[in-house]
Amino acid sequence: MKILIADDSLTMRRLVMRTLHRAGLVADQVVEAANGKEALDLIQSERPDLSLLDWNMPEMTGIEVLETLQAQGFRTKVGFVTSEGSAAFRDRAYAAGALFLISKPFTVESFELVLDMVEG
Amino acid sequence: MDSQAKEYLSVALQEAMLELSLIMLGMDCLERGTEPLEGGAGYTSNISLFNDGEHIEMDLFAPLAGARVLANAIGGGGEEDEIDEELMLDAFREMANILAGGLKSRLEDNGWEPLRLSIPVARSVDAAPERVERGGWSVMVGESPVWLATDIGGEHAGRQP
Repeated sequence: MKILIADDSLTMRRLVMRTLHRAGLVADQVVEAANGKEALDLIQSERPDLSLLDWNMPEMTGIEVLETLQAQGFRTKVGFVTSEGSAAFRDRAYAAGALFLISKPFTVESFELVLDMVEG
Repeated sequence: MDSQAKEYLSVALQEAMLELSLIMLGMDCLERGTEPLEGGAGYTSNISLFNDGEHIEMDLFAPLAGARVLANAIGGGGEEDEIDEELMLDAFREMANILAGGLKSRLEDNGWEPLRLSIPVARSVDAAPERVERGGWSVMVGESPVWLATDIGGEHAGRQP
């Protein structure tokens, strides 16, 4: 499985990677993006099986990335890992086609739950 | 927003700090109240939560040794690992971001209008930020002291709950 992790914090990208591993995900390849524009380009060129996006990022927000992909008709699995956990943000994420929204701080269990859903 | 919702700010911040400590840092979090600052130099991060009617400024501060332990804890390194300046600042930005996210969710669930988060800013400092010195409250995260302070629309709200 090829995973893309987009977050402007290197600390958080490492933490997400570590947590995915603990949740049992075996990633053959991990692609990292430090801003939204980079994430959009990498999703289109690398075609990851699953993309995990932060919401607030420089250049483009995570939701702008997803809405752009949807507008282009680009089919891909996207979830959010973000400190924005309110109902309004969740509604907007799901309306744009996100599979899940994991709010920070997160646990290994919160990743296990959504990975079961994604892999299932 | 009523005064009860405003008074909830300190409780929400404390809950968010507890959540950050236990879940992301894997450390206990014990209240110390208004303990005096220990030493001067350390790392601090600042973030704002705002909407059309409200503006909250939040500072987080930890003295040098404890700051390194916290940054290693969130970054996945061991306590003895060297961590460079860029990663220290990144870790402090992310801690402020997570803390503010937890605070934001709680405030919105408690009647506040939807808030937005600013981009967090972190820096190493020779002394704690003025807001912290003026009246921050403190917790022990593991064995590392951390001070938190908030201002709501210029009105100091960093008192201990």
